[in-house]
Formats: sequence, structure tokens, C-alpha cells
Amino acid sequence: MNTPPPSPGHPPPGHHPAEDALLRHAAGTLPAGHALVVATHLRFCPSCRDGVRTGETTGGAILEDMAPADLSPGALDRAMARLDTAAVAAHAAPPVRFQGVALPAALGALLAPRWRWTGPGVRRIVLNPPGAARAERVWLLRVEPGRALPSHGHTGWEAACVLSGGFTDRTGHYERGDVAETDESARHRPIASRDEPCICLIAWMGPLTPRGVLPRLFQQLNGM
Amino acid sequence: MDIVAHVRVRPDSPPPAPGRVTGSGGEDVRLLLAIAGGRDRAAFAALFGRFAPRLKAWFQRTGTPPAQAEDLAQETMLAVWRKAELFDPGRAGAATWIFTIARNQRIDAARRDALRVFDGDDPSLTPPEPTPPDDAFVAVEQDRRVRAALTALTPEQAEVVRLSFFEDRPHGEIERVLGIPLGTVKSRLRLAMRRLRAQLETPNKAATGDSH
Repeated sequence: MNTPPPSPGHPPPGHHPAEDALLRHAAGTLPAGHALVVATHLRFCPSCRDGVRTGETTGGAILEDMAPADLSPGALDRAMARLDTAAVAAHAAPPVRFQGVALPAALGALLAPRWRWTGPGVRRIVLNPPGAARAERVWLLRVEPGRALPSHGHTGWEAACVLSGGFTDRTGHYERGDVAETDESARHRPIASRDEPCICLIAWMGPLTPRGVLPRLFQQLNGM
Repeated sequence: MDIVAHVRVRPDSPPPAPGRVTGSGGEDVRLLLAIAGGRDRAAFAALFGRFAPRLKAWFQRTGTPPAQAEDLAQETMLAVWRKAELFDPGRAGAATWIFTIARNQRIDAARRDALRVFDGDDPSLTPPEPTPPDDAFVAVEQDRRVRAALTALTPEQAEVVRLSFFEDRPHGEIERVLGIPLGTVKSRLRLAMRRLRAQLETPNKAATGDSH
């Protein structure tokens, strides 16, 4: 669902997670928040689903090549004894619909009931995915049309997936389903598109480094 | 478009690298289908014998203590028994499917059962077109191809790929283990992944991948 940039003036942005993120997602070794962002993007992106499948196939080959470990005595018997009591396959939890988008069920379970004021034209829902590191933050962020977030840098990675609307920063223009990933060297000032509110799932590691007094106040008030 | 088309239109696919175990992918698929179709306990025992020791080794390698690694291997194999009906040999090889179950077991254990990275059972992720019956074993070919692709990586690329599967903080850990800068780790991983994808996915995927 990667719509092209709205005008030819924008360079083609990196709309997908980086290849190494897809591989680590398949491996199950991405941080919890980053994994949630990638899983959300996969809802929109058949190409990245194929990439994850390639990673999983790689995982299958690595598993098959593992030198077998010794099992404790009677391991097979214990497993066999449990077969009759093993429940039949549970159906996967249905995806949650949000803003017309089918989100991973895991994300739906994390949604808090209401948006909280975060700053002028900015509201958030704080998510606490299990397994997230202490320094990891995961938010749903809603920015009113045309509003900008304070300019800020990062002390760790950041990953965002647009759920509705769009935003632009110096790295490109992002719309529904697009992923923007930045690292600690990046400094940016995302601006929401003018047509509708921009809602993003955003995860980042480590404190942000806002520039200026008001942005710092904004940061302190919001635990960013 | 899927891997089926890829295999069909590429009869010149490279043969398995000599000297490597080619795996018993076809046999494993047969065992899984026997479990799915007939609750075949002998098939389960055979599959357990092949995979449980490797699963334990894999869990240990990812940092799980030995006793818990064996528990997780057990839980994974029981999940294989329970979910065998969901196994689709047109989408994934046996080892790949079992790997995804093991990965989710490990994440669930680490995250107290609440977040799965990627739910392969999710109906919304199922490809719209059914797999034609005569292509049902195509994933065995896919597994063979990924092995060939892995052997085609440079040793440095293969190493960062392997470590990505074992380290929870891969970039930092890989950086430490290999003594190379983070930027080099990332670029090696990206190159490796591109090579794997080029081997395994349809050539026009980039063109079709952006539309629903």
C-alpha cells in the first residue's frame, strides 16, 4: 500500500523497514516495539511479508543445521504422554480494526481507551508491549493536520508506521503503511500532512534530544 | 505471484552445494501431513527424534538455560502436534514452519505470552490464491534453494545472518563478537538479505509487491 509521493519534488523515501530489520523480525530478535512496528507494516506490504518469509526459511535451515543437543532421558515418552491432553489448534486471535486498518491482535490488546493530550495538536496513547526494554517507548501518536512535532534528535533507534494520514520530514514523505526508521544520528522535525490527522505507531529507544526550551519542556512533561 | 511461479520459471536453479546435507524436507513434510490427517503418533515420534534435539540446541544457543531449553523444545513439539492442520506445505517447508513455532514459543516465554512478533497462522496474512495440489511440496524446493543461497553468501555475511538469529540485541552483540563497527554489521546483513531474497523471491516482486 505504498502510494507514491504526492509530488515529484519528493525523493523516493525509504518506505519499508530495512532488510536487516525484516531478517531480525523473522528471527524473533527485534526489540518489542520495533517488532510491533514491523508487524503493523506487514499488514500493508506483501513484499515485506515475502522478505520475512525468506528470513523464516533461513531460520528453518539454521534450525535443521543445529548440532543436536542431548535430551534428558524419557523426553520422548513425556511428550507422547501429553499428546492426548494437548488441546486442538487454537485459532489465531482475530486482527483488531483501527481506523479501517487491520492491526496485529497483539497491538489491539495494548490499546488504551482514550487519547491523552501531549502538546498543541498532538495526542498519544501509550502502549506497553510486554518484553519492551525499560528505555523503549511505544506510542500511538495523533498529530492534527499541518502540525509539526518539535525538532528532536535520538539517542537510540526509532521506527514508525503510518496508520492514517501522512507526515514529512527531511528523510521523505510517509503515508499509510509506510515505515520510517531512524538511528541515533538522525535529527528531524516531522510535519503532518494537511489533509487529515496523521496517526502513527511509533517506537523508539532512549531519550529524545529536543532542541530549545519549549521542546525540552514538552519532552519532560511527556516522559519522552 | 508466489514461490510456486518462481520455481516453475527457473528450471536453471542451482543444484545443492556438494557435501552438504540436503535435509529430509520431503520426509518431514510427509510426517507433518500424517499428524495433521491422522493424528499419527509414530509420525510424531519420528519428527520429535529429528527436531527436539535441534530445537533444544537452538533454544540454548539463543541464551536459554538448558532445562528451560528442553521445556521449550517440548512445548514446541506439542504445538506442532496441535497445529499440524495449519501446516501448509505450499507456503513453508517443515523446518521453516517448526522454526516459526519455536521462535514464537521463545518470544512468548520472554514476553509472558502476550506478544507474538508475527502470527503466521493469522488468516489475514494467508495468500488469497490457494496452492494448486500438484505444487503442494514446492516448499521443499524452497528449503533447498535457501540452503544453496546460504552457501552462496560470503563467510562474513553468513556469520552475521546466523548471529542475527541467536542474539537478542544483535547489532550490539554482533559488533562485540565480531569486532566490527555497527555500520558494517548492518550493511553486511542488508547485503546478505538482498542476496537471499534475490534467490528466493520472484524477480518481479518489487513491481508487484507495492500493490494489494
